[in-house]
Amino acid sequence: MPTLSINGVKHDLDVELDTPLLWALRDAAGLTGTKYGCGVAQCGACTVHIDGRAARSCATPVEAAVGAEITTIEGVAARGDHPVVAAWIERDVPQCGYCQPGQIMAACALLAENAAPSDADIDDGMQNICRCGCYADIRAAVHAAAAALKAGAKL
Amino acid sequence: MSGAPQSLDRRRFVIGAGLVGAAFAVAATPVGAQNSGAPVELGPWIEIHPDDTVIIRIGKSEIGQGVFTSNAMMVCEELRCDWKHARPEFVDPRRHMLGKLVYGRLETTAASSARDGREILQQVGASARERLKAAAAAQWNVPIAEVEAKDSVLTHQPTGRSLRFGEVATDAASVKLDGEPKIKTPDQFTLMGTRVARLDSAMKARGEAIYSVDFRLPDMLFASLRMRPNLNAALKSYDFEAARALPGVLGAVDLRGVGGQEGVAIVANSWWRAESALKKTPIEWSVEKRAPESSAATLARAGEIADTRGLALIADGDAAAAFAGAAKKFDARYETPMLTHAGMETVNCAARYTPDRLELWVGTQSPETAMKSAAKASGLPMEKIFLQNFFLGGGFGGRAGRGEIEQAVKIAMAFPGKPVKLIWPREEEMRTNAYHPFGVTRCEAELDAEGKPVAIKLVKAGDVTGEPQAIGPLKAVVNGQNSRSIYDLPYGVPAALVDIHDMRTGFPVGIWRSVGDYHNVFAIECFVDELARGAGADPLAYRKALLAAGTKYWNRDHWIAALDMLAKAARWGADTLPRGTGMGLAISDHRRPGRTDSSICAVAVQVTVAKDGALKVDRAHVVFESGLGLINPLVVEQQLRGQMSWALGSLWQEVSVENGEVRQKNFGDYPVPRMSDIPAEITIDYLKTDRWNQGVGEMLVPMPPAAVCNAIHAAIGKRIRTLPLRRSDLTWT
Repeated sequence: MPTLSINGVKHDLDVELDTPLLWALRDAAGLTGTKYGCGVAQCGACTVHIDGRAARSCATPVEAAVGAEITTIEGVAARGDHPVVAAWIERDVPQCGYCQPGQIMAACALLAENAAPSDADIDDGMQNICRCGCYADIRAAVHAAAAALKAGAKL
Repeated sequence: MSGAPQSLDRRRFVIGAGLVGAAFAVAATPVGAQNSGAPVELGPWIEIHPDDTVIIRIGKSEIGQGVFTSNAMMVCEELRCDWKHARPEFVDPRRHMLGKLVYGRLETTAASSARDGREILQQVGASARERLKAAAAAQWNVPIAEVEAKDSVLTHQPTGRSLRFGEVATDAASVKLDGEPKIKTPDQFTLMGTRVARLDSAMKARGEAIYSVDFRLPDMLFASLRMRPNLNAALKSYDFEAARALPGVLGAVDLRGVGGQEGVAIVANSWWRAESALKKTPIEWSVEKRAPESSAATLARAGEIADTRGLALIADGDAAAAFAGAAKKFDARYETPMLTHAGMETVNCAARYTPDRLELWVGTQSPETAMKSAAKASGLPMEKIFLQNFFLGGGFGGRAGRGEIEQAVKIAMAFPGKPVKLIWPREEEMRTNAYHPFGVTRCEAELDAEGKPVAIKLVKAGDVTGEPQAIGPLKAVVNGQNSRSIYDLPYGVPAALVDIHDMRTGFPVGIWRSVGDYHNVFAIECFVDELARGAGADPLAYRKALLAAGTKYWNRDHWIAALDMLAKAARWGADTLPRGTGMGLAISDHRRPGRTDSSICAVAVQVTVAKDGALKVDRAHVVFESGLGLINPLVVEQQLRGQMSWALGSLWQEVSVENGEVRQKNFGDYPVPRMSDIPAEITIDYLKTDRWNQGVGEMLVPMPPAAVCNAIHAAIGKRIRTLPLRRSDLTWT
């Protein structure tokens, strides 16, 4: 039974080592904020952070995440004052909302690398799919989060 | 209106997990569990709690369109409760079904959330307010006219005495009004029409919103499935032996013919284990060689059919004579392919069966259909069926029942007493659907020496579902989706023939955002652009002239006004654009309604085509008819920007069938737009008119494909008549 460190908490999970991290998070750890969209690392709905870097959890076997620190949307949201989550709420980004946890995790990773991304940087760095087409609002929210970082907020 | 408490099962619906602030009452109770406390219903839509919380039942599915906010606003506008006390929740579909459809129409399709809701929700809010006022007046023994309701407080104006809504709700429940109060007119709105932040934004941004795929019970089992790989296949056999011994695997369920599909499911204690077991399960299908085999062949046949006369929708003037004497002839065929929804959340449904009770947990656009499907599949009467709806990870017409209800019921009946959740893998979702049908339109026109059309002939051939109905001025009995918006031509042409062919190809087709309008606007708005260019005229000015020449179309002046607004917003013709860059436009109104509501939408885009054929949409401009007023402009603008993305993405999409097999299996072969595909500049301007806006959810979708293809012509001189765009060579030198 592998042990994973998720949002700072150790979880012993009843899964096989080749189980995609996504399903370990959802079915075994009960963390359903991370979503299934395609299963083949194309849509980004399953984006989490593994040791701070964005990863598509549907295509990451549990084995590859053992020993690493995994952060999910629940971990980010638990902080309460997270500038990216705040920007998403302030801007009313979500429509159906299903892809948004993955979008936020992707945005956090982008901002960690580049605290003041241009539109082109956002286009390149945010490759997650949103079928509702919230892209204009996502772009604006990433800029707003970048402004919050500049004003002293921490990722 | 009776205010008696209902004896039905009462519950708080599960819509969010964890601490979501005061925005929603949340408790992960099973469907049908009893709720404690002393809330009071003022009719089936409104429940007032002692602490002034107002539960507002939402009779539409939240598929992203913001209905949990906008329809709650309709009630609060009249009820005059403090907005911070409003708590939306799903209606109970069982109460609806057993109570003579007490909530009207739950089905959330055809951009109907505001249209179906506004009057009735204003009315129930107004009635509840008057009952609260009457109860307070009775307590004080004063005339009702002296009582004012505002911000959840009732005040006796002459003395300043006050009571909270929560304090008089119990009394109000027994008040019977002599008549229904008048509802507000748009000039009296204070909440409706303002930009109100969505009540679900925070829970969605925090990952706390619960979709049916997320809903868990402690002893829940999970199922995955395989469905027929070929449209003409039936399940022949499967060999469960290898999978049986795998960890967590509990059983296989034959889904032959269930829910109109063919398939087999495996049940395990986690979804991944069920899915993994399926990969080790040999499945044999028997495939019959019969139509439909090929989408390309069917499209070619549709093209031949569109060359022949069909059933006439419009027959104005003497087209034959006009065609004979004209100076310049145009003849073109427009073609759009089958498409799929590919919502982010795949199809799923959980069920728990006992002979006395069937519970369903499913995000659905059509709870009525789901309840009926469940009753039929289980053999249980409606009163034994309990259904909880959830936020949907996208709808777009694709989550109104695709067989998952019947499948989940069948699976649950194999594991009585256990909740089992069926989740379709993406690949199954993409190749098992009722797809958006293709459309083919042959367009012919004759221009006179001045470039004005003297005759036009359109013959549309398209696949259909559903029953025919009498449509258009000739009352042709045809499919309403296939003929949408071509039975009534706004452009004035002396002789006009419009024919329709309703085809039944056997492809599984159904509703998809904007349905037949998608084909028909593409054909008409591109063809009019061709005529304008052929006449050497500016396409926007040409449209205005054609509209002005029309005498039959009652809404033409508003179309002209929309075009004028669009010209200004898009800076139409203001700049001399370099070769490779061009602007195009399209306009329509989705439903061609009666005279009380309409939904004109006009779109202009500027595109740049690189010499290697790479296409970029530089900017987009929308003029949308807000009519007498929108409910919540914030969600309307979300929707319009989102539809721009949806429609621009569709330019590259196609569902194709070869040898009976749907070729598209995931986002790799069904491309959907991403951030970099969406123009940074999208402007939205509202056209105010003296009618109600008809809806928002699909009204913009048909315009961008035509506008982009017209812009491509302006940029490089190539006329695109067939989608997807990859069929066309966009290179230039």
